Amino acid sequence: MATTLRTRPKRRAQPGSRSTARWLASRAQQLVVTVVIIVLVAFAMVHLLPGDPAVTILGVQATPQSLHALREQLHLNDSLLGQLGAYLGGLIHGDLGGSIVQQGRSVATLIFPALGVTMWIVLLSIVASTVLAIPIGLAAARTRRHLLDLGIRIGSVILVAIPPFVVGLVLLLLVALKLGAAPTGGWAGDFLGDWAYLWLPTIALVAHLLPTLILVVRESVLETTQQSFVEAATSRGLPRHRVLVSHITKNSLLPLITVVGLNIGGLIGFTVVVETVFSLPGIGALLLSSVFARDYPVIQGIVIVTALITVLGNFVADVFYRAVDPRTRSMQ
Amino acid sequence: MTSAIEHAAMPATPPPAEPGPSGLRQARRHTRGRSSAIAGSALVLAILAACIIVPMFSPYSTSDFVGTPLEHPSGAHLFGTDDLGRDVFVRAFVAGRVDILLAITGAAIALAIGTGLGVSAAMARRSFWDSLLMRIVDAVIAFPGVVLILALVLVIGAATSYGPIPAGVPSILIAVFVTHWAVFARIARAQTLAIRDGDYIQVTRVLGYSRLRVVFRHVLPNVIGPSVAYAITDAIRIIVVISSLPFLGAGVEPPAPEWGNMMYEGRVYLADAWWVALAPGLLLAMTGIGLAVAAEGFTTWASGTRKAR
Amino acid sequence: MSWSASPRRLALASGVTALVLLVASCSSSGSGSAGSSSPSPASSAASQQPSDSQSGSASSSPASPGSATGGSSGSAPDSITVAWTEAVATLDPYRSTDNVTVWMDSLIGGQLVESDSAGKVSPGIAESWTTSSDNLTYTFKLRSDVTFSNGTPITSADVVDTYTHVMADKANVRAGEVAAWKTVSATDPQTFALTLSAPQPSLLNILSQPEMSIFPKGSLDDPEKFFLNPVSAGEYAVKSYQPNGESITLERNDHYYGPEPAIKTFIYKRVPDAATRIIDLKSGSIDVALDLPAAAVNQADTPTTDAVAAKVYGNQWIWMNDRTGPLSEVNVRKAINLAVDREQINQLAFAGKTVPVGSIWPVTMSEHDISGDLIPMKVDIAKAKQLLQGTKCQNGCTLEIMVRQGVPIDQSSALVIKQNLAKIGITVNVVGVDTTTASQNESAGTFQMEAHKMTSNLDIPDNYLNLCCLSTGGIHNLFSGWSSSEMDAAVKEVLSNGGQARTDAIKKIDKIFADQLPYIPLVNYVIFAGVSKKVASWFEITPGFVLDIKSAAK
Repeated sequence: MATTLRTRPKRRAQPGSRSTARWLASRAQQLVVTVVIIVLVAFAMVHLLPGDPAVTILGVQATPQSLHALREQLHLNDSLLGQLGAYLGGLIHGDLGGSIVQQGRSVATLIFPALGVTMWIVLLSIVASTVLAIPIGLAAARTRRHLLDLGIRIGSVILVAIPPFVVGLVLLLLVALKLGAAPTGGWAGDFLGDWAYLWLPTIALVAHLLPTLILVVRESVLETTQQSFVEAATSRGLPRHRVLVSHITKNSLLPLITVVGLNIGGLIGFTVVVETVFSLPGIGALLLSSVFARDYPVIQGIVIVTALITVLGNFVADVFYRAVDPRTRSMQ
Repeated sequence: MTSAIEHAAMPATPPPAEPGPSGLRQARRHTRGRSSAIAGSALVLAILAACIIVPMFSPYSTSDFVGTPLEHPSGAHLFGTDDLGRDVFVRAFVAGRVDILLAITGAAIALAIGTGLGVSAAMARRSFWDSLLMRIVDAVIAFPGVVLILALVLVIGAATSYGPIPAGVPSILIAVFVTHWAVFARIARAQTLAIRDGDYIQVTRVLGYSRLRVVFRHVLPNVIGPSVAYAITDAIRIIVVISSLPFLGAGVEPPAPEWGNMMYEGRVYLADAWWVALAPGLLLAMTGIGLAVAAEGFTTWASGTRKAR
Repeated sequence: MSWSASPRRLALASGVTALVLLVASCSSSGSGSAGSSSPSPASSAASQQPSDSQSGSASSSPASPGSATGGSSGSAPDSITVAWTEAVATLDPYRSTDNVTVWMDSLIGGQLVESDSAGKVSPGIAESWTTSSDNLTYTFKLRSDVTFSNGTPITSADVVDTYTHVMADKANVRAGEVAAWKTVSATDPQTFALTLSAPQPSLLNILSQPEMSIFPKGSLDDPEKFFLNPVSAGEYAVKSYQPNGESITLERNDHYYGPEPAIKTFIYKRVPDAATRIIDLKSGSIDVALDLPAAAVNQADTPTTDAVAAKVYGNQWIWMNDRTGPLSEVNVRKAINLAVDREQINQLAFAGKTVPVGSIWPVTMSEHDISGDLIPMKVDIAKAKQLLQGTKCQNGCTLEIMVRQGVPIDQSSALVIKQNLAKIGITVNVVGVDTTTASQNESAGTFQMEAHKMTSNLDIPDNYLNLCCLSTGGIHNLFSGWSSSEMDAAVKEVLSNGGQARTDAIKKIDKIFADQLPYIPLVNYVIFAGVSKKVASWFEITPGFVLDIKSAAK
């Protein structure tokens, strides 16, 4: 892959749009390589799974003849390379294939509605956590009342240590069952109605992500405050709150983005658990059932699509980061 | 080409050197955070010690059916019994051994190998290896960890327990390692890059030190600080991930107790037999606090030490 | 301004936290929903009566829906929502043996004949039939006014087309059922004839099964598309079927030829987590929560819901692989049988709601009473140890027992077995695997023991014996690899005879089984569910584990 070989990084920046364009091109290239690796790994991994989907579909009473016939129909008897070729060929046309277990449904019709549900909750959780983390983290860092800081930090640590399914179940019991303030799981199917089913699972996820973000914000606010340019700004007579908003917040936002980016993969993992507890028709439910049934095309599809989202998410964060923080433009 | 994210991924980048206070205050600065680090570690070790020692004093074993199912906590059973009539108190502590040891081991392996790879990539003569590693790291971080864990459990099999090691552990360790090493690689690489082209390292080059010596005696000590701090917080994350695994049909297999599978099996009885899930949850939360305090202390201590150089 | 953590502060913080958590949880338990503060299943069993109609063996609960009338408690609700772990993966009966597929197909499918739990056959789409003297040709006369749920009349052409496709489908999971079918033909629009190549005494019962439903001519040319929205002639018709099978809604079929079910809309929802199912039931968002862990079923005993324990046509077994190792010796197996505490399994895995069995037959099937319980059911450790003398396990040995994850009954059973066998020096390792791996291990013979059920849909011995006691075809004597030509011959006798010859053959089977004990029956299997009182008199879980909606009382 000669295109990825690069010469030693230049020490000095080349200012202006040419370096940005070059950076964008390089990042896009990296993205493609990453995705290709993921597709290949997904295919290999899925076909290494022991167990025969034909047996799962037909059950234990199936005769060897019927098993063989089914596997012929599903092209499972073709060579691995042949199956890989067919799959890649389909991918290039945007065709993710058809489900083995759910006869007649294409992988795309199975994945995308489910993905919509999951990403809705994940994005909502990220936004809510970020919005809440900034004021709380700021308060913890800036307060003179030591107990408040201590309380916030201990609360955060405890919350992080509690697995999301426990939080989810407790919420179900207390809020949905006892108080009747939310439905006990399920999905409406129409945009407006879905909000009623969303907010409780979102809280379960926020309970896990928010404390991490609070601690990150607090840490970076503390650090930034100690740095000399803040003192320089205040000694120049700039009002304290202006310093707070423009300098500190901006510098705290960046580690926040980083941590969120690193956590997206894990967040999707915990969403799987939360979806099980709240019976949400998300990608987690689909993933579990397709892995246990060895529904190869669906598993591959899920891996590729979620990985793509994570990679793209990190890319967007990168772009945002680069735009906000001029220091990074000089790093090549 | 460093991504902007990697640049920010390094926690506590040493700020530009500034004239500091002298004498005693300086000395105090270098050790600030050390007491937190010690206190936190002490708490975790205390819990681990309790997990090893307390069951030895209990009249019950973790697998015998010693009472009526779902009994309230009482003098005989400090945390009541579970749905099969087993003593929850003793199980919760035995479970702690597995969780704490798995977390420490998992984090340590990910730390060692990830950091090693990250430093090597940054110090490599040919940037090809650096690129390659970073693309693999990107792919690993983007790959949904859930799928990897599910696949690993199925491929490796939850089957056997090796002596005192409960069933399911090998696949957990491998899964944890595979999903966690990448971030360590990124951190280590970013840290190494930051100091690689600095004067300090250039001097060693001029002096003719071998690359290996430079890595071990000069690069690593400066790089390891943030990595270890992240490793300690990672330990908490690892415990939470392990405890959520039973939902995916993975994790430490019953009947071997583990905080996660105890909470998972106890979740059905949360409404009226809450003690089954509470005992492991409590111990888990306390361990989390200890690890968090230790991590924070370590970060402060390490950055203070680095500033001093 | 960094927080200096003096150890004292740390201890204080942890202590306060622990205290707060304890206090919070103590106060929340005061308002527990099931009401009993020490819910031990043994003591509360006496206070709660599971609906007997669902666990009795002699009841007239039909295997095919529509013929029973409902209770008299007021008018039926408009809809019923049933929830279980699995999704509706497909409605194609030739490509699935999932419970959900079977339930849906039995509700929407119309068959030539119907049968009740005792195996008695009655008219379905066909109003009458005759058999040729050599028992090889069956001729059915279809009802003249019967239509599919979309109003199209059903003719013999539809029947011929459906069954022609079934016979030609090599990948049909139930290919064995049509193996002896030679030709199908229609002499006129109301007459349909089926010719066999060899006698098949259970043919009529098989024709009443959901996989023998009749579909409109031409539908099976593209089964993938058809089964996304199938049309047949059952009590219900598909109204909407979500991709991913999260839920399916059925609506009463106004063109049904028999008495209408009392409830208009039938909804099936996937609720994968048992804890959530219980919560859903209590909140009223579902009416039936199927398959709850035994110890939790009491939580369904509230003013608005009932806890139900339905005995089915089958047992909980210790499946065994007799090919190699200690289990190949009959004395080892018998020793295990004497060490296993069936009553303890009943208490811990089945909340005390079932009965031990010492026979291949469950107490719910009439065949059980032919020989009774020949296999010893009382624990006898001394005798067990004696039996182990001279075997591979004389000085102790280690065995593995496999369980399917997500099936608490199997896991609890395995744990009890583990405890029990420790008393005779056998160490048991419990291995949890997912369903696909379990099936694979079973077919490949790479397991030693498994705690699992074996059940049948009908109260006739044919399918049951196929599963448990035939070494060729089927599942080879429950995957054990054990075989006995005597047993095979006896089974064939049962399958091709009726009356006294059948009874004698069954007696022979029971005796051979008790002598050789290739695998061990433990207790009658039970399905635990929570049912809301609103639908309780109209809904039934049949012993064949089929869902049934009763029709309104006349």
